[in-house]
Amino acid sequence: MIEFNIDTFADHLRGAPERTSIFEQEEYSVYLQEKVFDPLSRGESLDIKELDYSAYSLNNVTTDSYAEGHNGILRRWGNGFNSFVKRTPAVVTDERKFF
Amino acid sequence: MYGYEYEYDILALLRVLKYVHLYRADEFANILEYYHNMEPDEVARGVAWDAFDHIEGEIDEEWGNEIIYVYDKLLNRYFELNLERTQSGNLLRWETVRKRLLHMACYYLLSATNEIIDIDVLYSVSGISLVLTMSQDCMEPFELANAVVDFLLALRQEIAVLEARMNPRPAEITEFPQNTLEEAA
Repeated sequence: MIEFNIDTFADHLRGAPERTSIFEQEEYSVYLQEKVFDPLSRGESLDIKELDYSAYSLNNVTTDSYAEGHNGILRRWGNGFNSFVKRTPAVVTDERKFF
Repeated sequence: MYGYEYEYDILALLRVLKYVHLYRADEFANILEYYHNMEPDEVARGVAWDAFDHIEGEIDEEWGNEIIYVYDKLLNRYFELNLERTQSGNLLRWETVRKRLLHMACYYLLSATNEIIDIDVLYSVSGISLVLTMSQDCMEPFELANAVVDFLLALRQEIAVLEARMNPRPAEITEFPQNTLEEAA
């Protein structure tokens, strides 16, 4: 029979590697301002063939709203998980260790 | 950040193009050639279809929804690493890894856009694919393309963590102390 060992569980938690966000901090790019957004503001069209894709990086085009959006998803998943756990009948466990 | 009214859409498009430029160089030139005269939302949708979907024109027979089969070498690598880590290739392990991948896809794709209504993971001879069933009522090309990019970036990060765990950096080899050599002599 498999038995839950809280010490092993805690060791695994402590040993888990630190996770970093896939979204880097947003950074302003002069190249994009001059080659993309200024012409668009003047009413010109965007030709994706004319751009130099090595001149900017992912963090120049990733705004902070991406990370905020994903924090919202994480919160909703957390709420869903909590709700699921709350509905679990207490009689399924012999002891109420966690909740 | 750049003071343009439709900045989000343009940035989203440039983000997808940058990802394809970085990691899907083979398809990039064709995409530029084919889509360069189109509107940004058409380009974003086209990139999602052309760069990530490897079976064109697939439609659900029962409901008529379009289906995207996302194929990437990262999916195969993630499976390989997980199976290697568990040191077992039996069906139960496969199912565990499949579920893990499915949860990740649900988090990054299903939660991020309303255009995807169902996700599944498919094994085939050519490798692992992610099967995305698209909604007929909702079109969010920028969100869809960027959700796929987010998922692949997260998968890339996950693979790096797994590889680091399985192949820890070897301890630095230090020079053997001179006095110990002399003692041995």
